[in-house]
This record gives sequence, C-alpha cells and structure tokens, in this order.
Amino acid sequence: MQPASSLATQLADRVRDPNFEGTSEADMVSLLSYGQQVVNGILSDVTGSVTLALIPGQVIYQLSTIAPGAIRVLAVQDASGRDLKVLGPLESLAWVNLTWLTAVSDAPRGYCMVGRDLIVVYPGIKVAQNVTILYGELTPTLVQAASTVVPNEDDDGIMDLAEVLLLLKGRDLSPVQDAIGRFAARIRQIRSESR
Amino acid sequence: MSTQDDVQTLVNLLSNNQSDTTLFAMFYADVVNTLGPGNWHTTTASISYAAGSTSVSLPATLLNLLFLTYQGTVLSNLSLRELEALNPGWRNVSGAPYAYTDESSNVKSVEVFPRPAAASNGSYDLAIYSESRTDILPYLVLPVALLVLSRDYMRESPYQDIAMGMLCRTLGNLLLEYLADIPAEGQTPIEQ
Repeated sequence: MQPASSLATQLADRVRDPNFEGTSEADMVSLLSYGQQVVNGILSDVTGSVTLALIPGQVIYQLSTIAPGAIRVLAVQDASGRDLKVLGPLESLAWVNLTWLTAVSDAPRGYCMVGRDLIVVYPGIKVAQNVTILYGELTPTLVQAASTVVPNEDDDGIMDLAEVLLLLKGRDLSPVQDAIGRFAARIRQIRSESR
Repeated sequence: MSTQDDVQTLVNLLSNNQSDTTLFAMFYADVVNTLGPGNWHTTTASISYAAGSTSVSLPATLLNLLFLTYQGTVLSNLSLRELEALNPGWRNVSGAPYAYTDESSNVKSVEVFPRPAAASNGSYDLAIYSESRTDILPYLVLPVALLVLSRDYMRESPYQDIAMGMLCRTLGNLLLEYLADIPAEGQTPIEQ
C-alpha cells in the first residue's frame, strides 16, 4: 500500500518523464488505478463479501446484481460459516441430474459459476436462508490523494502494468514487448510466493 | 458514468486523443462480441415454447448459448445428423422436449425435439447464455480499451500503426487470459 502520488513519481522516472510533461500526474494515477483493478482481479488479494438471501426454489443468481464489485468468487459459506463445496463445470452437474434447475433440499451443498456473471447455488432450498459470498473485489478508483489498497508486493505488478501502458501511450514501442514480459514474470512471481 | 464511457475515456487517454471517436462505437461493439466465447457476460432469460412448433426464439443479445431448459429439464444439444438418425421425421414428433439442435436455424433460434405438445413459458423455461452488453463488467475496461485501440491502429488511416495495434492486442488478450483463469478446486490456475 503506497501513496498514489509516490507511485506516479516512480512511474514517471521509469518512462523518463519526471516532470509529467508527456502524461499528467492525474492521468498517470488513472492508469495506476486501472492497473490496480486488473492486478487485484488476477490475484484477489483485496476481498469483499456480501450476503445472498437464497430464494426458495431458485438456484441461479446474477452475480453483478448481488455484488457489483465482485471480480472472482472465492468461496460461498452457509449460515453456519461452513464453505460450500466447489462443484465442477455446470455441464458435470447436468450429467448427474438433468433437473438440477428444480432440485431442492434443506440446505445448499455446493456452488459453481456459469461464465463470470452467474452463480449456481445447488441444490435450491425449501426455506429462505442466507449464504455469504466471498470474492476478489474491484478496487476503488485511485486518486492522487489516496494510496493503493493492495499488499505492497502487488504494487510492483501495478507499476509494471502501468509502465507498459505509458510506453504504449508514448509510442515508445521497442521496449514494450520486454515490459509485457516483465509484467507477466512479476505476476508469476507474486503468485508463487504467497499462495 | 457507464463502463462504455470509461472505455472511451481510456482509449482517448492512451491514444493521446488520436483515436477516431466516430468509429469507437463500432470497434467497441465488435470487441464486446468477441468476448462471447469467453462467457464473461452470462445471464438467463425466459424462453417461450409454442405448442406444435419446433422452433424456439432466443434473445437478441445472445452470443453463446450455454444451456436451454424446458420446465426445469436441461435439454441436450444434438447435431442435426443425430436427430435425423433418431427419427427421420423428428419434426413431426410431439411430446416434452429433451433435446435441441442449433444447426438447422439461424443464429437466434434453435429447434427442439420433440416439438412441445403444450405451450410453456414458465420460470423454469430458460436460456442460459453469454450476451452482448453495452456496459461491460467494470474490471474489463482496460483490456477492452486495449482491444479497441488495436482495431483503430490496425485499420488504414493517417495514423495507422500496425506495431502499436499488435502490441495493444497482445496486452489486451494477455490481461483477458489472466482475468479469465478460474481456479480448479484447491488450485490456482498459474500453478497448474
């Protein structure tokens, strides 16, 4: 977690624009903001949760309606705090039960995603109850007066991605491919270190 | 501000206001349509089954049909040849549909087998599909903006820059691949 203005200054030095002449500091912070959202979308270090009120007889829910800031569902917990099982692809559920859409039970046992915006909590329930969805969160828009909200090691990934964007913006294309490679390597490194 | 506006703002920023604003909507729609196979924007819609008709209309925004259900039963996707092997006169068989084919109709409709004996339009008659949306998921703004830029710089124009376009496409697709990784149970995708 570092101040946006400090990251912008470091970024400006990296692309040899220390006086923010090619790109204003505000625009650099904007690119850092998008970088933070994408990096956290990949790593899911900043998380959020939402309570989903299950509707009797319903198994499919629209994730963007329940949790507009959700990028990646990490877990679903029932009312007792127990994690529901991660089911395989929805096709495998259809192999087991062609009528999974109308299956009901006293409590849900598992969940799966259908694409990125539908969540299936299976089976449906007879009586209304709540589950908690834990997810990797869309980080808030970064402004100059704010700091990043991801762990410090993720800031390096944000800087690498923002550097690529600034090189593209400045039409300095010869180092872009190497910069993309550094970003990819950074993401692999961060993931291998802590997960 | 909609995510489409965010994409346009970012495109203008990264192109130093060089990108063609009159073509933005077309490039944006094209990029959103290419997101279909990735099943980013999945949703459901109620479907009407007409009695005595094999044809079923699908939503206009559909890009990729994932599942079709009839009264809560998931229909199997069969090829036209498979249906014909089952019964050469399959279109004349009545009953509760349990299969459909998308090979005999245009892209926004399918044919079911058997044809429904009774009309059905309930809450368990669903199409589950990925759709084309004007407002994309907010975390896709950056990769979509890069793919829009790629199209703008690859086309013939006074500022055409093939190398720039290809690099934008490479980065945009890389970010989509990273964001699309859905971990298998107990594993992270990059470790697999």
